[in-house]
Amino acid sequence: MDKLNEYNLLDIFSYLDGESLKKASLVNKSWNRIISSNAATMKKLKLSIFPEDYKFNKKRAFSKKQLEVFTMLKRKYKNAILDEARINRNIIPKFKNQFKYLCQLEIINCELTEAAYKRLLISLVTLEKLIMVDSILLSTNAKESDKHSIELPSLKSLVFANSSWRFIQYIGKTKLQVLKIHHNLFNEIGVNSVKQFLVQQSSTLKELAFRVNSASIFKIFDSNELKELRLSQFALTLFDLNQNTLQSVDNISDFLVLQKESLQHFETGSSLPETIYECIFSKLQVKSLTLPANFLPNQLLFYNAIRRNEHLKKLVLLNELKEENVLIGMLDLFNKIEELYIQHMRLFEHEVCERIFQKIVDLNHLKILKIPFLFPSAEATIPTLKTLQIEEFVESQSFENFVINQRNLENLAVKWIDGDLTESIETVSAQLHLLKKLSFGSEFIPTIRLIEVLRNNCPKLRVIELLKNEAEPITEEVLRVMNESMLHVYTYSSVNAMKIFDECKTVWDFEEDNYAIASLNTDMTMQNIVNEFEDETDNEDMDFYDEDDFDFDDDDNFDFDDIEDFEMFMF
Amino acid sequence: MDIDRPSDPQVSVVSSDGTMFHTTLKSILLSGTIKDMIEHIGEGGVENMGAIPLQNVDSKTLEIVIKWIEHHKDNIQPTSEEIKDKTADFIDPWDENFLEMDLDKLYNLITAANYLNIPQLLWLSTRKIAMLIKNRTPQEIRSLFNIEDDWTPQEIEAVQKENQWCEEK
Repeated sequence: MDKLNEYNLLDIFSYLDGESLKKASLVNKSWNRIISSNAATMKKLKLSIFPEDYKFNKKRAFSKKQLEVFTMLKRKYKNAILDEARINRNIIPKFKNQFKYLCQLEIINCELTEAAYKRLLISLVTLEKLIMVDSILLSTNAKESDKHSIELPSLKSLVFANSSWRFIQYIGKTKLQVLKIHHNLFNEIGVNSVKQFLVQQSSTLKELAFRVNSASIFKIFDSNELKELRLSQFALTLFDLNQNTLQSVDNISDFLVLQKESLQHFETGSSLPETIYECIFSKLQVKSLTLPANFLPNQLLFYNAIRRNEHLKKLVLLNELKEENVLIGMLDLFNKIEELYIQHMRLFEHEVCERIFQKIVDLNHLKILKIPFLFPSAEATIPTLKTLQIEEFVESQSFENFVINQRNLENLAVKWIDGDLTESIETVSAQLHLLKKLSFGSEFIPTIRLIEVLRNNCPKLRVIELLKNEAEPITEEVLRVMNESMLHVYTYSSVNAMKIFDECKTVWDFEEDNYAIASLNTDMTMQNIVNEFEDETDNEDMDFYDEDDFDFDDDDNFDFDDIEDFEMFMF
Repeated sequence: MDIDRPSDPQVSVVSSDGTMFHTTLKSILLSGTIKDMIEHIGEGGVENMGAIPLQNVDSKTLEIVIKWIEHHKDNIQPTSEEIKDKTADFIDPWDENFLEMDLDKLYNLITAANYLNIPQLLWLSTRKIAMLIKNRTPQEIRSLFNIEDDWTPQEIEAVQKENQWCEEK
């Protein structure tokens, strides 16, 4: 066996089914490494189909890579990922039976031919969520008249990031409720494609989010064409924007006024033209607002308008705060809010933090507070506070001083723990009789003594959430004591920890659309991708692109009902 | 050896240990590697071309390879792309019989088929090994292929635990 190199072994493994592959991965360390690290790249077509019950279900978290290796094909699959695949029309029918039940499909870094894409769309009758990231629709010589759109009868959510605009041109009628678009190259084609798409989906669409780099986005919001659209959530972030090139800004004011009755949440991560702020605050009555703390508008009109909005219940501040006075002024005005999330406040002096904190404590309707850290403000009580999330536990004094006074607290979560939390939790638990749930986002395992103290102090405590810790798993003993106390322990992976603690990003729920984030952080523009792709194809066999005219009738030739055969193809 | 015809001239190859083998052009062209070499000198030059040295293949293995390519020289060979998509498992009984050899020879055959770029032969030989692995327990695989078990009990427990979720219900 030593004579064979890794490639030979990979070849051999590629003929194994999931069960045999699993056994082979236990033979020795090097086989295990080869199988688990190459499962993803063994074939140019990498298709991983998640079992029906796949989710981070807190009790058992596992990596996607593992799933790719051990996909069991005998179930009906709900989720699938096409990753780094080149897909031509012959491939799709092979997976037809698997696609039939899909609810969620992610297409990431793929190149699809038009015929393949059409076939794919046709088979996705149950699909509810489609995510497309960094993918390219290869152009064939299809006639313009052939470009009829295809209905996706169940589609409710579409996340579209840095992919060929022509993808959405093919999507016909859907039940779309959520549309999120991130694009680094929002050009005329983009404007037209999105506009046309929005018109088509306007009767069902509820949530709309854009992160784009071009002000031509405003051309989309033609209130005549979109007069049916009634959004409940709207997010608009413009990056790399040259303020001088803003066009058709007035469009969006008219459009927003139309949403007056329905719009509950507005979100932005960038500075926006004044017109929009004015409209949001003086003409609309949103319940929830997400703003970038580093670009808070400081125009008087904004704050005068805000004073009139009695409906605002939730405020989320993204990014690093720049001007504390703006924030303090805002909190004065927003003294009726029930939820407050502040993402960062590192840059400030101690006294400034103290001032901000004093303002927060004065919010006497506050139910949910998420804050980076606590300050030693003794005796401060927010009587309505039910949920407290602290990004970082630094020292016990400020933690104990504040938390012990929140007598009505039901949920307490600490994300990063730097120091000994055990004693502090023990101390504060003496006063938190209503506590129902405790969550810890970094490696922390309660001692048996702590569990016993909690059991006595907090009769309502039912759930403790812990981060999955490979090195130091929870001992049987601790588990036993927890069971006796009727406590449920959920462990989760670090990815999921992010999810639990980052609930503030409402529209752009980055963790949920996790692949979309990856692409947000790269400098890759669409043009780059296209260029790279063209360079690559110069050297390659062009047969792949040589497709005949699109023809549905030959589907039957590609039916592979036999599971064995299918697995051969997979591995 | 086939009767020499002008359309299928004789070609010689030399193994790594210096043994010369004679075969025909049609057979040897099943090897993508040699096909590339010959294409570079042009068809006309084949007659005068000297023996082709194959430094990565020993005489025992080369003999086996030549036996296989001569048997299959008139068959249409699938490309490696086609093999990747291959799902049907029909194996020619001649091939089945041909592959009855000890593991050591089989490993050498894989290496040679890989080096010589003979997709069909590589497919047959790797598949043969895959069939031996299939449906065997890790311990059976280790003893069959004489592989050392380098797991500590803790490690193997951890890995097995990690895999538990995918057990069939």
